Amino acid sequence: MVARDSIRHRIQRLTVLTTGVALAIACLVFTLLQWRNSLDMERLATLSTGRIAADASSAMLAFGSKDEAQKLLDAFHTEVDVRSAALYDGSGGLFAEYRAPRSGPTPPVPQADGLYRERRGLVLFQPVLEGNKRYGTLYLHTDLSDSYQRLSRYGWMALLVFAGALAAAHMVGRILERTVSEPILSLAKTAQSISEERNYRVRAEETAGGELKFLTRAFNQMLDTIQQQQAQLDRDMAEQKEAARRLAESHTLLSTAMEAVPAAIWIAHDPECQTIIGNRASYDFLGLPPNTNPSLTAPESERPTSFEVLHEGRVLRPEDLPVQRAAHGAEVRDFEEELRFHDGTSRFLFGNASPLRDAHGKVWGAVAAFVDISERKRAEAALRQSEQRLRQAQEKLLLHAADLEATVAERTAKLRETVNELQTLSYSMAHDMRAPLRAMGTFAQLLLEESSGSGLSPTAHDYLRRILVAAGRLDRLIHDALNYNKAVLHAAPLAAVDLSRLLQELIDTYPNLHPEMADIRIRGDMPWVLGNESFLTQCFSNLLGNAVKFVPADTRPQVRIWAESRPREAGAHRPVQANSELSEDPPGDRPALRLDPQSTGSAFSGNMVRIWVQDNGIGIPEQAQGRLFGMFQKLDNKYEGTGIGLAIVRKVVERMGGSVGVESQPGHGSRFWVDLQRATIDPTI
Amino acid sequence: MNSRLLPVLAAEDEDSDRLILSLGFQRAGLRNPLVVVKDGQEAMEYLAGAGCYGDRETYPLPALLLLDLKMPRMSGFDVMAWVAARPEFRRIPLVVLSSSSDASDMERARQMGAAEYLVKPHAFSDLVNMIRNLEKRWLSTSETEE
Repeated sequence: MVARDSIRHRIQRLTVLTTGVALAIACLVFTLLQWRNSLDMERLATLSTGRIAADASSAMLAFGSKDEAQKLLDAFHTEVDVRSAALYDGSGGLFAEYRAPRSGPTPPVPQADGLYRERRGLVLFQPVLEGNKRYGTLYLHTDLSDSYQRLSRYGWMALLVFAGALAAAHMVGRILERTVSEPILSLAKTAQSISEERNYRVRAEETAGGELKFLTRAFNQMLDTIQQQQAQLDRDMAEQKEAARRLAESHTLLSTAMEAVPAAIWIAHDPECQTIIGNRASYDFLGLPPNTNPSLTAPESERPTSFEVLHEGRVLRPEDLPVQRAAHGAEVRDFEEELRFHDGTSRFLFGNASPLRDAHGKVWGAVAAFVDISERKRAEAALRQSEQRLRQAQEKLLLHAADLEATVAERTAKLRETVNELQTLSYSMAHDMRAPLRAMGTFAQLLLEESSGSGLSPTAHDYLRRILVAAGRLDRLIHDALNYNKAVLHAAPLAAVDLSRLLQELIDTYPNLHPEMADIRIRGDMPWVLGNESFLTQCFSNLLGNAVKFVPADTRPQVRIWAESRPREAGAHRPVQANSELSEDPPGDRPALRLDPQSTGSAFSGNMVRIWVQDNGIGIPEQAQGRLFGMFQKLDNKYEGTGIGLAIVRKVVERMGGSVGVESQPGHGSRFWVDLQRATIDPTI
Repeated sequence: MNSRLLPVLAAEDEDSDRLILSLGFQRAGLRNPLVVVKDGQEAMEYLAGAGCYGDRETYPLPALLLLDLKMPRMSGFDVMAWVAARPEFRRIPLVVLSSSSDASDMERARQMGAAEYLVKPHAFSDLVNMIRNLEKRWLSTSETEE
């Protein structure tokens, strides 16, 4: 409430009171002075009246003329303020007396001369003198009613003046106090509005000059400052709020994450790890109720007793636990520990622990995170066990295998010896058969020559011829068999061979391939192949020989040869090469065959090339094509042959990492193909 | 005079082959005499002039040496090795006449100094042709050497 205590009222009260007091004092003093004046005048009047009356009465007393004296005294009735009068003779007896109505009795005897102030008014005892002779005393009693009337008039006037002055002072004060109170009130209002609405942007108006102006300015400056500080404060508050929100968020994140991870997390809040808190998983791991203190260095009453912690089979002292080590500043990495519970079960944990440091690097706690690797441990143990068993089984197996191998080696050695003996035997037999055969053939021939013209019968002549032919066939058979033997047994190092040259040399060498005997044409370019010169010769001499041999009678053989690129297919024949180490081995010692794609070196491009040999021969029935490349497969007895040629072809081609086949229809000729490895070396080198 | 012509020395262990070779030389009409010894050992003795071959008048150094490979006592390769170590025989051409058509044998013979490698033909006529070719190649100058 502004009203009572407001500065306006205070100022008004101040003005009125000050004025009132001043006026009251002035009026009082004035009235008192007036009163005194009035009393003095009354006294003078009484004295003068008494003297006059005493003078006049002296003769009457002297002469005892009472009537006269009474007349004199009665004259006082015009004087309203004379209440009574008396004359006393020289002996003090009453001589004459006057009393106004409603006045008291005169004193019976005069009192000492003088003027007295009495309650009823003034009392005068005036000696009556004539010369120096005293004749009596005059008594005069006047009241103060005039003075009272005057005093009353003054009093009323003073009161009027007082009231008027007060009213004027009040009016003036009202006008003046505005100049003082308005700015202050405005300030006060502003201050109140600020304090109520906390609006620091409002400013007090600068209305007055002087100190109030300074006050307003100071107030506004103060408001400026407050506003700035408030803004700063607001910003700080906002930042603090944001920080607090982030803190709360990260706290939520941390606690949610801690609860969510399937790993145990322990946080120690003091370097001695007296209190450790953990997440849900950690209590699950330890088999402890949530929110208990799992620290092994906790106060005795809180310390868990249901388990102990082991590392590599030894029980860890509390200070060697990862959390405790971390809480003393150590970084613990990849630590494995076993929780052994007193009910006999175990749990294996694996994890890390790190110290928690404050801004100055001082360790104030530690955090540890561990996962349960019990399953892994069990699996490892099981694995170790089965590995152990496997090892034992393997050892047994190895012993067994060693036995077996020894047996196999022994038997293989025997077998090889036998095979070698047989091969050598057959080779040398075949070889050695040729000499007697040659003798038979030669002597049969010579006998035929000797007997011409002599008397040998035609029958005997025919017999001799048959011997000659049979010997020749047997020699070819042996020759082919030996070649097949070579194809199987002999070392065949592979090298780049120019097929074009090889074929031309073949055609030049064999008379039955000469142009006058057969029309043999090579179409297009012949490639370089990775092969063995002797094997390739065997292969193509047989194919070309067959092509010109198996033709219908009276038909001029026509042979066409061409090459066709064949990208290497999956599952195709792998390059095969006879091991060069064995190239010096005697023939028939052992099969010199080894699969070794690497040893063909850079000469092999990885691509195959197919060589076609097409003839206009009698053709091959479909059902015979399958066994065409077998040993001793003679399809037609009309034609001279051993039935070994195509077997040799297949053998040598396979030993060069290739393959061979035929497409044919009886009566429409045959097309033989040979797939060989294409060589990539520069032919000019 | 035939006797003035230097002989051809052939080493051949097979009886029939020795006869066939002689007949072949006859049929080919070769004027150089043919001396056939039974094996490498004998061929070496002839060349060295050892034992009964001491007389160079009767047994002069041959104009051509024909060697079978497979022989008892001393093989054709043994003879070639022995000859190669003796510079005095460097001028005698050395021809292998074998029933082996092994590439390894051919290569080995070439390395050991054989001037030619011939596989014994089956037909007699082929042999005669072969001998004629030998004469053309190795014996045509033998007369001037006299």
